[in-house]
Amino acid sequence: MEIYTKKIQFRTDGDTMWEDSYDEPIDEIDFNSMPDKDVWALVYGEYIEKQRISEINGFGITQVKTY
Amino acid sequence: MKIRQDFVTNSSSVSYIITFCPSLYNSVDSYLWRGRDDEKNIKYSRIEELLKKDLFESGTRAYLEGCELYVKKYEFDTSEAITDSHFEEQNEEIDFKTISDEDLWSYIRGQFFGMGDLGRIWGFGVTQVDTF
Repeated sequence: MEIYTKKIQFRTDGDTMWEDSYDEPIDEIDFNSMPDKDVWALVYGEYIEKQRISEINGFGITQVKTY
Repeated sequence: MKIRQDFVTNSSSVSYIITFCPSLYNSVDSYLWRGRDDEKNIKYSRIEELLKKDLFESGTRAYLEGCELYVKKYEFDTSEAITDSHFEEQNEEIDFKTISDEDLWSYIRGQFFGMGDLGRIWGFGVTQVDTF
């Protein structure tokens, strides 16, 4: 089984963004023009911290540390 | 209680990689983990103990980027899995004090692997890797 793994470390008090925290509805946000930094904040918050990455086929997540 | 699994009409084979990080699991001594309401939640206690035992006995210990993990691939037919929705439809409740290990595995496969509830327990992770 070929698997790619990576340990990702971030802060939950500044590095993350949740979908319901934007000023406008998520469906109205232009992701095409969003800087990678802001996309990563959404990945950290909505998809890793809230674990929604598991909704995407082939992705998984295991938390390994908390400080 | 013997869980009926004959409700499944279209079954398929699926595989999941389960990962377990003992250091995080053991570092969190508060019972207020995601998924549980009180310290002695028998449901989570039994599921955690069954999974940990299996992973320690037959999983692969791996070191990934400085983290000690136990990893194991579980492959099963979806007819061997059961979820909360089945019990809700049947208006039944699971008695986690008396459920057999065999039936508990069916519930783990369906609700904790398939539906992803395993991610609610700190230190555990699940990734689907095959479907047939």
